[in-house]
Amino acid sequence: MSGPNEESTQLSLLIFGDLLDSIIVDVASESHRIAKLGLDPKLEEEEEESHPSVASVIFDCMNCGRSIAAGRFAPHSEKCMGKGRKAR
Amino acid sequence: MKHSVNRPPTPDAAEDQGKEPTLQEIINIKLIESGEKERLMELLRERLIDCGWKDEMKALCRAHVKKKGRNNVTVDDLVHLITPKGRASVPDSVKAELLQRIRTFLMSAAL
Repeated sequence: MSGPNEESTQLSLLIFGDLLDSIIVDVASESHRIAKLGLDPKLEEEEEESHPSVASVIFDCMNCGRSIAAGRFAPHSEKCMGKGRKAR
Repeated sequence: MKHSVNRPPTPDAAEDQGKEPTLQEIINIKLIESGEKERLMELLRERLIDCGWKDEMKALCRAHVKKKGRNNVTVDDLVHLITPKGRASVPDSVKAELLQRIRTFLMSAAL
């Protein structure tokens, strides 16, 4: 049998590795859960960039007087002004 | 005569056909029974959070999820993703501290 020190070092490393592996699985599970449940605002970053918070500002439509969100303004205008205009 | 008469006995779950528990298994049991495994895990977890290791691993996961789409990633994918980096990036001081504690435990377990 090799010196007790050597064996205990080997064993310690194995035990440490075991602990670390468990923690790695925990972290992976946690990240997976967060991703699946959509709990991470940073994950949505890419989508938000094309809809900045400016889109939530409200304007009154000059045509029909309704309160419209800036982000919905274009589609609304199409319908709103389009109805009174059959042909250009 | 039916062959089933000569069928070998169902192996006893505990015995596993005469295989002795390994030293590591014995130690693992002692670690768990004494509660030391739990304490060591918590200590390691805490150290890894403090030094930013956990954040680094989570960032790797996040980047992977972003790339593949969140419905195309399994826990297994993430484990395989972060294991190499995870094992390699534990600070020496953290590793040393844990190894010291483990060694102390081994000594006290009188092996």
